[in-house]
Amino acid sequence: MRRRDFLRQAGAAVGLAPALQALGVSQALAQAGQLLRDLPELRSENGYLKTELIIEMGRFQVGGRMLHLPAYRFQHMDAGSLPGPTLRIKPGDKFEWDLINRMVPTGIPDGATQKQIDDLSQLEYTNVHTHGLQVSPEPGGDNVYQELKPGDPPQPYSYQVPGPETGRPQPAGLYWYHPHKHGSTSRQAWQGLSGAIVVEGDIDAVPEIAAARERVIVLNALLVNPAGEVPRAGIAPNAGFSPFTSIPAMPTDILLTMNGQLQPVVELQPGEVQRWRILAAAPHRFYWLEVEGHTLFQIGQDGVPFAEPRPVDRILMAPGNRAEFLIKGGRAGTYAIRAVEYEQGHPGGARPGWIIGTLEVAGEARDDALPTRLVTPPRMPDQPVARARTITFKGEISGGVPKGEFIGATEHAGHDDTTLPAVQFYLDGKVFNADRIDQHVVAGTVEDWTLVNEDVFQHPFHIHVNPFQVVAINGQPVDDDTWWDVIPLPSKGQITVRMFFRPDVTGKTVYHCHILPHEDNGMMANLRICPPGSDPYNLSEEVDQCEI
Amino acid sequence: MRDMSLSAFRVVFNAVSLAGLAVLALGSPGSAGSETLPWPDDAVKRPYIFTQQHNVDGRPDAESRIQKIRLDWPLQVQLPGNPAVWTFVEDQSVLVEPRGRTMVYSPNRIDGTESIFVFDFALAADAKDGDAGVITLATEELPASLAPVMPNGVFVVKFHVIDPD
Ligand SMILES: [Cu+2]
Repeated sequence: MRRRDFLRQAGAAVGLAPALQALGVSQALAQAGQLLRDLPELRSENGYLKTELIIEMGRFQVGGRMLHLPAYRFQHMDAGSLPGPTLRIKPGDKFEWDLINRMVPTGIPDGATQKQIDDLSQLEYTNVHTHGLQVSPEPGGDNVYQELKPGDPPQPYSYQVPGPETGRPQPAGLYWYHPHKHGSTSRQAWQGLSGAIVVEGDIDAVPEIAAARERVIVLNALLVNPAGEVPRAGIAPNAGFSPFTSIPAMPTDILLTMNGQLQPVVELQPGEVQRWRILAAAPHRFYWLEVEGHTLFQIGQDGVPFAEPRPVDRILMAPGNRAEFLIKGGRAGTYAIRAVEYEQGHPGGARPGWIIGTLEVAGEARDDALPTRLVTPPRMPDQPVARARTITFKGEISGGVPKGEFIGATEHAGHDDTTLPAVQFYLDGKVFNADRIDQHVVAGTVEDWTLVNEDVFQHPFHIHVNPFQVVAINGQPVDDDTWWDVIPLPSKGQITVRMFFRPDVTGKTVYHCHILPHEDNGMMANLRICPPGSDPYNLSEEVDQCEI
Repeated sequence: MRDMSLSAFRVVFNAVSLAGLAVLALGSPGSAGSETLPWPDDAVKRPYIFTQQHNVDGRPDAESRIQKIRLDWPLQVQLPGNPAVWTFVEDQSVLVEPRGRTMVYSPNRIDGTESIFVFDFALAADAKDGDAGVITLATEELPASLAPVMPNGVFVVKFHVIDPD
């Protein structure tokens, strides 16, 4: 029997899954080598969408293992999905969801006392962030200061996605949602809690793109113990195959999945063009992504489309980045989809290379066209730089430095004042404090931020609401009109980014390292976006106002 | 081939049945402390990894940091060093056997260290449920960056063996 037929039969066996669902199995899928699945989707209608975003426990077969994880589902779905279902919206849409938290404690260390279990209860608190959407961060919107405990009443979130009438519509591309409760974010990401948001718009009308089969591909890294649960404990980095250990220790494994599947097969015909939208949702691993023997014609970065396709051999994706590209099937054959070995600065050297999936080129040959022109990307407004700032990134992983200003994830590790946090990460020498305003900026202005990295770790900078462009690397000017919302900083180097704070979105929000264990352990700070015309520049960090 | 598919299905089904029981155990109300979930027999045996953050030597909370180790699972200690050199202190260790060591390059992560020393251990062949064990390593030279977390230039982890099966 041909391999492909076998794969199909394996798929048929999985078709018996309803019986398993009754036992609480959300997804009896994912023997290595099965076909890449499409994620469930929900689409807005007539400019509006409302659903529930429910986090529920499920059991997921990943490779040869059964994992026990919380997973997102929308209201209309019977079971959770690992990763979460995809939302499809358009610029100008309003969408709303009620977040419901039904997480239960899992991954508890052997021998933990009830007190030790209770002390970590914040690890099941959650909220939701719409990464990259240029929407209000105010309460009830994309507000990452909210927290929802298991069993709390549903928490409503409402978003007005900027439309054409604003003059700066949300660019059409790939965005995403994930939990952002400080101290719990990384663990919930290692549990796979993440989902794609596709904003549809101008680029979808490019004929060659409209004709292409589209795939939304979410890359997750699941950090699991032998019971298939994510350790519910403090964590510390280590060398070796699995990059983190827990405190207390338990054996861990790291599984790099595509759409919740271990090493799935993606099918493509020779000469066929497909459109892949890839989301790097893993909290720590950088993906230096390549598809063996194939050029990636990149058409967008972090949700923002390009003017024309850019052919590249591989794309570096830091945690939180999105890359969208066209891929044209080469000669019939089997090709590796790889996360190439990458030195991101983790203790013990480069993260190992991984084959995360297989491209199988087979079937009838065709010769699909690739586009030469795409769309007109948004432009940086031509106005003077209102302010230049410098932000310094520094981590501390010896375990020997007393607790900083904030009591974040380090408290979750079970430490008290007599002990030392396992790790701490600082912006401008400080760990996160929700009550401090680290930067006051004014909506409608342009600023340059120089991000100085004192570590070898390539901390990826992320800021909420507004994307940015890179204007200098290590002080040398760069001519690049790519928009980003996450950019890795060079080891022991610096990047200068230029931001335009859109005039119609104000409020308090955050910027942080998108290595989520760094964020949870301090590497985040607050930004107050003040209304146009205000003058908050001389306010101290204690003042959460916009005028003196 | 059809048989192969079916047997794969059975494996899945068995795993689900087991896991289903585990959910009931976890959900039992009023339980004091954690339940011991079964780990699959065929699991790849990754080690329990201990870093300087696990040290109990000189810590006031040492008693609350005694580890549980499941019988038959490997152990590993990773400590930053070079030029400092860590060595296994056999006469202050209990119930473990050294199973090899190496040094991996890890420059500029922790001040005063260029590498991570990696020590593999196995539980002693006669280890059994309830036994107590200790791993001790020491260095003569200690970088200042590590003095707060391992004040005496000594690394100690203490554990009890459990055998859930
Ligand atoms: Cu970082």
